[in-house]
Amino acid sequence: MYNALNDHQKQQASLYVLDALTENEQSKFELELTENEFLQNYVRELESTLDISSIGEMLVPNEIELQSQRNLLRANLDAMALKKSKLSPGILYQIKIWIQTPTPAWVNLASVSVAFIFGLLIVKSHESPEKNKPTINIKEILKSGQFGQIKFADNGLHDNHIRFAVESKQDLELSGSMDDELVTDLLFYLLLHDQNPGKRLKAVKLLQNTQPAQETKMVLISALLTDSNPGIRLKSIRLLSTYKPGKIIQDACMKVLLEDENEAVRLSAMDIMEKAPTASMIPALQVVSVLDKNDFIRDRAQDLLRHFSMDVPNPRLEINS
Amino acid sequence: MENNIKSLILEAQRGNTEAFHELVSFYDERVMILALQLTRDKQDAEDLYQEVFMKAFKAIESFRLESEFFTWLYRITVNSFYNLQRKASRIQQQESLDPEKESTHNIADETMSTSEKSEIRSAVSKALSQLPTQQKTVFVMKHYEGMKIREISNILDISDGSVKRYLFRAMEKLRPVLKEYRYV
Repeated sequence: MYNALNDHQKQQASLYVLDALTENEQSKFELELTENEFLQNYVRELESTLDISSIGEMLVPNEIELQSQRNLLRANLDAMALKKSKLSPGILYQIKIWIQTPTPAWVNLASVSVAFIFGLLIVKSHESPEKNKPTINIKEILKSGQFGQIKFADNGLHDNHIRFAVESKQDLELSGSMDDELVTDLLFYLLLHDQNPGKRLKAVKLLQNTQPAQETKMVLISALLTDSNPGIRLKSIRLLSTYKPGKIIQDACMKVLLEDENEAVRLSAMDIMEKAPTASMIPALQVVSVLDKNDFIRDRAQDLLRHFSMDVPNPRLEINS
Repeated sequence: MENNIKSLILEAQRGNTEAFHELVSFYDERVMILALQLTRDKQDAEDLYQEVFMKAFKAIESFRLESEFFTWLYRITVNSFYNLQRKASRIQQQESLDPEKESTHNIADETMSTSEKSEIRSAVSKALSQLPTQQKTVFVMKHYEGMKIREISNILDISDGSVKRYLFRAMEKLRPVLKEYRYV
């Protein structure tokens, strides 16, 4: 039927129905169309082909589906960032050589170690508790050192109470309010000692519901510097960011900024350091501004260094005391 | 380019993942629609979506602000689709898949009101799946996405003439296949 049409005419007809001709081409084609009956039939057939194919158009994805894809993407990118962020041992070695802190290194190390030991002591203090509220059975279990048997009951948090289940001969359940000292101490213990990262993460998450306290701060610093799980370190440092950035926190942040393999943790350390910059940060920032694998962290370190050069002619003087 | 988008791109290029996620939420619906049109399969479209944005995240430093961000994303989408098609065709060759299997891909939405529509949709999907990848891509971009020839040629990095030829060939193949549904 369409043998009377050549390929050029057919192509122009296809482009015409698809609205893909230029104005000139369209005028020319329409002129030809009025005179050619075969071409008119051909165009009609093409138009109906397009009409039919429009029925086959896929529906628009709904917002819930898109949101679930966004969440999945977020998880994929986080996993990718974790893989990428490891500093090579060579760079770490260079960092150690290049770093020249105005404060002697042993002072930094000592303050961080004190924080760590203090955190441990807090937990050990269960050995002689003088608490009236919890049952005697819990105390006995604590004394006997069967800490590994402590779990979170249900989701851990219920009606503003933190609930623990203790697997023992009695299968106890313990619940206490946020300001209950035994509860916070149990959270400290789980965060610092439990083998299960899920429980450690739950513990640090629940700690954010408790009142900020010196003891909590020390435990969080310990977790930040020692936990092998980046999620727990990240949660710890974010919780630490709610505290006034004193010297111990700043020292821990410097160590994290230089050594932690996780970019998100290092970024959080940078957030805290930016709140109250001191001149003692300069050497660490100089190293990070050059060596960090993450451009954004390098840029922020450079920005902070610029802040020092503008405001502090003598880098050995602290801006905020 | 809007200033807001531009600043998000700059932030994302500095490694700010939140800025990148914000960019994703601006553009992902259009990417998903294109992915659905190209793959005609929800699961494949979701895989394509993830691949596109993972690639975009890795390569965002190389994006130059003078071009359109969406055009760039489109190009990644189409290239990723080509890669998927190549992989699929290799697997098909290796496993000697039943050619009927393609038609079992469930692209028909459950909410379709009539069986006729469902039948037509299935036929269109089948017809599109039988087109060579480039013809299908160009047809989808023109007919479903309403893009201009110049935009398509820019994204696919081919000449305007090639785009027109692919369109023509696609139409030539679809016309007889869909002819029987003309009066439904």
